[in-house]
Amino acid sequence: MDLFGSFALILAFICAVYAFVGGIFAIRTRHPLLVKSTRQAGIATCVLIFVATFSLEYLFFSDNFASAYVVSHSNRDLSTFYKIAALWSGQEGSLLFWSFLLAIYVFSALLAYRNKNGELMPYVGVVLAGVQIFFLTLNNFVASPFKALAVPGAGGAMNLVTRADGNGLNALLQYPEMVIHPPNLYSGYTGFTIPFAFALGALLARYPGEKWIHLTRKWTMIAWGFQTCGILLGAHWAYAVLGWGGYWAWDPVENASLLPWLTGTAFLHSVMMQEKRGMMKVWNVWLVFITFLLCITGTFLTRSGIVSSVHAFAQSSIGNWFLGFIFLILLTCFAAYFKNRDYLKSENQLDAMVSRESSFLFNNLILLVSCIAVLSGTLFPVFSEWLSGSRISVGAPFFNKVNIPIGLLLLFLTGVGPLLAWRRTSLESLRRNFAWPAMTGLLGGGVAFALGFRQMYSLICLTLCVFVAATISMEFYRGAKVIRARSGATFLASSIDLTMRNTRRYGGYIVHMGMVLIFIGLAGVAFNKDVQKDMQPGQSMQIGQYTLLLQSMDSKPEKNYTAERMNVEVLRDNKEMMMLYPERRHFPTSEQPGTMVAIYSTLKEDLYVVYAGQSPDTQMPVIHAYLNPLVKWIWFGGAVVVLGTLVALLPNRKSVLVLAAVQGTSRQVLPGQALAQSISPTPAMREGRD
Amino acid sequence: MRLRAQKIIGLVLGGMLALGAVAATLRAQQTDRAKEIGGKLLCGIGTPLCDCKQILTQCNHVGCRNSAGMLKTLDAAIARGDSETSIIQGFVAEFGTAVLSEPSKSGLNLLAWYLPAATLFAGLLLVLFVISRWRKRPPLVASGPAVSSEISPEMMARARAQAARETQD
Repeated sequence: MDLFGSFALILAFICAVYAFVGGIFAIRTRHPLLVKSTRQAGIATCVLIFVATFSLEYLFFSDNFASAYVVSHSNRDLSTFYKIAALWSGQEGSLLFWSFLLAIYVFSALLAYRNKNGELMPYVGVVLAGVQIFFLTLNNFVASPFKALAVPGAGGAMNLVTRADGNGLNALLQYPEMVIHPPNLYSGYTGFTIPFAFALGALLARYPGEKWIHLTRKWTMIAWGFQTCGILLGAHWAYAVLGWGGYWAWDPVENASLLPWLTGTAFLHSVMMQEKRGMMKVWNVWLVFITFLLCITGTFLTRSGIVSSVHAFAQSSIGNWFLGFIFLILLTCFAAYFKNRDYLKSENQLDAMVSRESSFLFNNLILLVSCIAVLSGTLFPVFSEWLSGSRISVGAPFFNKVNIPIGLLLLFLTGVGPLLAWRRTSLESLRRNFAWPAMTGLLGGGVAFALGFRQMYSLICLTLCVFVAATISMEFYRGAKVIRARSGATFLASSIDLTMRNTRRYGGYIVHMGMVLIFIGLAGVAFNKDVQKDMQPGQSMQIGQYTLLLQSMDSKPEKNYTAERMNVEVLRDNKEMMMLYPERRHFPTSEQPGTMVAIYSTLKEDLYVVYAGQSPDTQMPVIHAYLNPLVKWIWFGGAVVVLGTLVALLPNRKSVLVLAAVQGTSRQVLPGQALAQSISPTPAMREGRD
Repeated sequence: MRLRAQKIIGLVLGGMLALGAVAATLRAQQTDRAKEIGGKLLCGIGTPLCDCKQILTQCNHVGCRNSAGMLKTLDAAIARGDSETSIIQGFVAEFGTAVLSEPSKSGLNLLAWYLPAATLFAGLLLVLFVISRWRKRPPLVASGPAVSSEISPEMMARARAQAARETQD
């Protein structure tokens, strides 16, 4: 099966090269047969990558310990569930997994548009094939996952061997979230390839109008949704597994996942400027280019060893390949831009300073500044060492100091944006729209202050959260009120009807509401408490209103590990509440320790209990307890963000009735289509389906 | 005699309790101080034991064999009553400047601190410049046949406003 997988990868590489080279000829000659054959080569590339990936999974499931990759990342006792995750636990397998997810996107795009956009698709196909060639080069010639296990024999020749068992999967990866976190994150990274290919293809083809934006909007949202899910699942994994009481440490690998998310978010907002007003064409194209570049840069950071991180793969020379690829992408993007920049001439014209357009400009600015702050902080140690020769660190305190004010500005704009109208917002409407949310926000801040939230940033954050929630609620209320008045339905039914009539707009508001919930959770960080104590069974410790009584210790042998467990009774105000079982795990095959944190989570706070090992001084078990306020809001907010993204992806239930009504009127009143033509330049109407 | 002995025992016990309370308060203060100073240091710098680079007092990284030793050094320095500067300098002397959790605000490191603010400031100026330039541009004139006189401007404005309301994002 390893030969089969290896052969499939080689064939996939050949097909991708054909799709790329043949695609260029197809663009030049416009020969329909060549266009069709290169598209089919692109589809064949994807199918062959699927075959190679399933071959590697088969090697894991069949415990094939003649394969070097399987030996390094699996063992016989590893459960089937984790054998799936073993695929992406190492450098070689994760690169194949990257190709696999990219192939799913490419396959879907090539099939979805096989009979559409004939002018654009050959260009898109070439760009996609180019990206696939890079990853298939790595899969085949640099980091092949299908290498057989070999040991040096007599005369220096390598002898193939089969081991009885493997080294096992990294202990930190043996958690359910690790089976879903990387696929989500990688789906985000790879997903941005599609908008990149369409943007570059449209620029190269000088494809008219904003059609590439319409075509890629849903792809971008899918990629963004996966990236959001991946980031949040990673944060939850860090919280539940690493046992340090937090969920975001501004580690370089965490930062790498945030960078394309920030620019992707900026693109999802600024794209509306181009759709509605034909503005910011150059900016949008470059935002897509930058987002894709940041996806590759993030992968470069994770895999090159240039920055050290607990999450990074081992240091390897693979970074040079990524550096070369980044350089090539930049060169291509600049060349395409300078050759065809006249095609991107925009109808940039603003009616007023206070308008939705301005708010999008500021939103983009803040997101980009945040991206630059994170990127510069992540790379600064490398540049500092180059320039001054001294190593420095840029840790969480730096990122918090820099990014918290930026995040609060962004939160403020999230609330302000929906209150502003396109083109122009009068002072009167501004006053009318702002009064109620602003007063609610201030009231919320007052309540938070009375409840004891005295830390400045937390207080501002909570005030802004209430303000933004009020603006969003007001938008729903106003729309639902109109529908309710017409239909007589309940307020909830009217809100759902409203959302389904304009899924993009109201889905976006749901995403914003989810972000508000996440910010509420983040505001709690300032009030975290923790206590650490060496304890014998029978002893207790106090944290907040909880008393933790260590009743006993026991050992629990499992199939792949042995768990040493604390049986901790939790009392609140001296009343028995529950038992918590924090544990330390020992994985004999990999000789690695692991933890399983016990968490009692409520909307108010998390009681987070870690068995922190034995004290070297007293030889007593150490219990580390944390009281983390509002953490649950983050996970709940994440779920709301995902829900909003899904809603925004749905088609509208009804197209805009007003246009049909006016057109209907025009038929009665006007001969021909004079009215429809006269109103067609109005951007808002042009986008009636959104 | 017995009463006097009871008084002495009472005084000794009271004194011990008071000392215990003072010691507990001092320990709590030490812990707070350890958290504050430890928050400015990273774990696992320049050692092959662990490269987790987490905040020292938050480092509970599984398998970390570095933080325990560093925390012990920190606790000992705090117990001796060393100043924050001398404690941090001690760590820098042993592990290098990379042990500090954030760059110092001097020399080349100022670039790291000021770059985000400078970007924000420059970006703000740029956005304001762009907005003022775009505002000066003449509005685009819609092409196509003129609107029939049978549709009043009010009706057209109403239709546009309604369409804009129901289609905006």
